[in-house]
Amino acid sequence: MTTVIPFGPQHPVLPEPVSLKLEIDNDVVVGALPSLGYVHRGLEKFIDTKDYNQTMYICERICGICSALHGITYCMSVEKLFNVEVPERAQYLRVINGELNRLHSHLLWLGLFADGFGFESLFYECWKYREGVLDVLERTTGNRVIHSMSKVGGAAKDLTKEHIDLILKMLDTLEPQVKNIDKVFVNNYTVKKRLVGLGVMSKQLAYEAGTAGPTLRGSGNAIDVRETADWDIYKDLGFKPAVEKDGDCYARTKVRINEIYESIKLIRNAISKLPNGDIAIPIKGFPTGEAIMRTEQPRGEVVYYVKGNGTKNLERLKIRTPTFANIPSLLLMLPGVKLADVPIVVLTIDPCISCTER
Amino acid sequence: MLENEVEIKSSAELLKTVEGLKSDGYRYATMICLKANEGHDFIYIFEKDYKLKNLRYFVKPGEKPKSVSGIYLCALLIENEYQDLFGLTFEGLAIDYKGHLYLTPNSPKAPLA
Amino acid sequence: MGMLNLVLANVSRKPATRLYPFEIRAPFEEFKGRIVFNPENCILCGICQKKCPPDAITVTKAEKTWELNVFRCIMCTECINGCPKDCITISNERAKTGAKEYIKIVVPKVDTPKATSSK
Repeated sequence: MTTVIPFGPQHPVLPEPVSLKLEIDNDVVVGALPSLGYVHRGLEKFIDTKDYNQTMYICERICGICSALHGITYCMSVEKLFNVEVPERAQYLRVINGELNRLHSHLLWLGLFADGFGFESLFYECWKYREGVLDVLERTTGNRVIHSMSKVGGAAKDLTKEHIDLILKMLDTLEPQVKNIDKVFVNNYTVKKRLVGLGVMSKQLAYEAGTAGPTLRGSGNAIDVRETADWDIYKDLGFKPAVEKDGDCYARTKVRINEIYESIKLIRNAISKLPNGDIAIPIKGFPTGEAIMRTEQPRGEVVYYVKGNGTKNLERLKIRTPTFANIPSLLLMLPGVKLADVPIVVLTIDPCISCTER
Repeated sequence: MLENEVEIKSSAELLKTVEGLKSDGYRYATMICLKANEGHDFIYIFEKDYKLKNLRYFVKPGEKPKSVSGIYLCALLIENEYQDLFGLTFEGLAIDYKGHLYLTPNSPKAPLA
Repeated sequence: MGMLNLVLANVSRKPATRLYPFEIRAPFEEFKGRIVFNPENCILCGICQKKCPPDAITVTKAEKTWELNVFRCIMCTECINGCPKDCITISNERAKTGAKEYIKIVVPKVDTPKATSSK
């Protein structure tokens, strides 16, 4: 005899509303049914009224946490329609902005996750270190959260020598701080008791369920879109994906902490190799044709599809965000989990529901 | 035209091709729906070893396309989204929200159609 | 003992927060605070109205006014980059709560006589 308990749209651990109806049999979950639609804004319809330059501002505002890479991927896909190549300095500036965004997003997730299993002082430590990253973002781009650093044709703002010194100084302060909280997440007795062996997905199941990002890499599949030829600047920066084999919540936490170290290394390499030159090229005319572009957001791979028909408005814009691909894996991870552990399993896929529903 | 694209003519051929891709080890990325010539154009995107493969299938007006969620479970969310936004009806969905995944009874009907 | 060391280190340091209304941090130079319009050189071309993504600027040529809806503006700086006479700039002061929604400025543009062909 099963009872149905709503893991409601409002819950203290969730940053955005999603509703799961859980079927419980004697304190163990046997089935789950997701129900979306609480923040659906219909953003794909805006292309009817805004032209292809103004749509960049719409795409950035889909999500507050992963906003920089939405804007960058949109600009790259429209540049594929025009068949132009941006100058090298603009590509390096986009990489630096994207990796700073990844730093702040992973630090936010670590704090939220610690709060999810009750460790509130660790939550405050993670968000305290995140303030250093947000101050650097405000000084280089002008805003803390929505940066608007890229435009169709290149980058919108340049980095001066003082900005570069600020970024390097912040990274030198941040790295030992992250090593301190790394020790707490990986070695603490209570954290390990709660996370090890929870929500296990095997390597084959994670691949077939269509997951993306750290959810996929925590189960042993070394798939990261930064290694493809679409954005081949990452090869010059010496990038290696972070992979773990176990497939439980502990492994996914370790993947995200290793990605923080990898991002710090990538920003330092990009700054040391930053070439001189223009930051943008002028774009004339109207887009035609179809293009697909994929990049790696903090939560996984994002796929953009654009189609132009020769006027100043695009004909179709379709965005598949990584949390959209990870939600079906919740239906496979949740059966067998106790009711008190459900918030941790839901948080471990890093749900960003405003991206999912656009 | 996208690169590495295969044109599919019937829904039986679609299901057979998708099953073949699954046994080859391809991963389901997404599905795109466009309005084209009175009907709808579907583009299925699969990925393996960082290379994409696209299948293009034209749905005539009034036809009920078959769902691939029996083969790939993750396809059920995107097909339910197109039931809401374009007013289509899929056959054989694993979980069917019947047009109420995002939209409520007093929202505009089929906004992208 | 990782967390215990962090807690003891935090106890011995001063707090990481600022006591807000008594201590205010000066805004950074690059911070996008509000839009400032200087009507001296404006020629009422309307480029700023065409480029604005949320349609916050309205330029009326008949009455010679430039109007900004402050609550709609997203500080994207498209109008600043597009103005051919550099009339719009950005300042780093944040508008306080209780700001007015519309800012309407009259443009003192002098109508130049059309050039007549001298034969």
